[in-house]
Amino acid sequence: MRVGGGSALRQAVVVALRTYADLLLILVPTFVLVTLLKHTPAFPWMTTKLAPAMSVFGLPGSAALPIILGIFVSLYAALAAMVGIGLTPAEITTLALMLGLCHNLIVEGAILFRLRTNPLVWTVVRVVMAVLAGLVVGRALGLGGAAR
Amino acid sequence: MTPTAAPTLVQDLLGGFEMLAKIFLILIPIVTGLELLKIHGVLARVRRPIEPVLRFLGMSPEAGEPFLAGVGFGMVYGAGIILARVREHDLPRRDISILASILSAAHALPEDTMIFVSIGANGLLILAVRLVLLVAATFVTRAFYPRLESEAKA
Repeated sequence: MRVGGGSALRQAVVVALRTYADLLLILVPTFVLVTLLKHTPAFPWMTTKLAPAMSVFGLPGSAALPIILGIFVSLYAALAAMVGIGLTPAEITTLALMLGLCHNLIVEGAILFRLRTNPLVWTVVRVVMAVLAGLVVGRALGLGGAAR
Repeated sequence: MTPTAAPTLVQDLLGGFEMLAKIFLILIPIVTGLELLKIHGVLARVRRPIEPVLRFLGMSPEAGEPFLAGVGFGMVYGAGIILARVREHDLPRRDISILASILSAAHALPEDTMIFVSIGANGLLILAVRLVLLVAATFVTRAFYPRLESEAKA
């Protein structure tokens, strides 16, 4: 642990840049794949199939994609997918809240297990909080008026 | 959102650069700031000022550093500090459970909120809802444990 002002700042910036570089490995492929998927016929088909489930939160069917990526891959994969599919600010806020509560469940479940807490309990708690928050905030933001 | 003229694939792909640039501009200062806090060992020093917050959330003062680490820096760092404290034997079981509830409701708040703000989310709304859930989660969790002495006195 170094303390000198200049070297500490340099050290911190290096960590930040390295973090960003690591994230690019997730962001770029996810964004490209989701954007390509968006331009295939499979996308509207998938969106229509998922629309009933997502409409509970006032979200379009395509919002299922970032949710799945967020739960199993990472929050940044979900972020890239959200940009890829194109959503309104209100939809982004609702999704961001749900994803903030409920993401990376497998890796973070393992962390909770290491703390000798029951990962299953906390994972269920996180999913329930995300669903509740999505229901309340999606409604509050007036989402789901138009069927899309 | 009615797409007047649906963007082409190339236009959409180019939009990715904008996202990468926005995330860069948000992430670099936040991670740099958090790293500086770590390097200068700030967490250990703000233990005293946040004691009222810890008492309100039902934790002992020993939980201060893991609490700040988890909410501020993220789950991995928070859990690391919790495990270090557990090895030193000064973190009660009750604190660990309350910390787990806090980590479940809200970890890495600055980073996770700001990256979504960078793509258009309402950060204040997100923070408000998560803080309410954080407090609610701790209150439910402490109901499973006997009261602390400090609480009994109050």
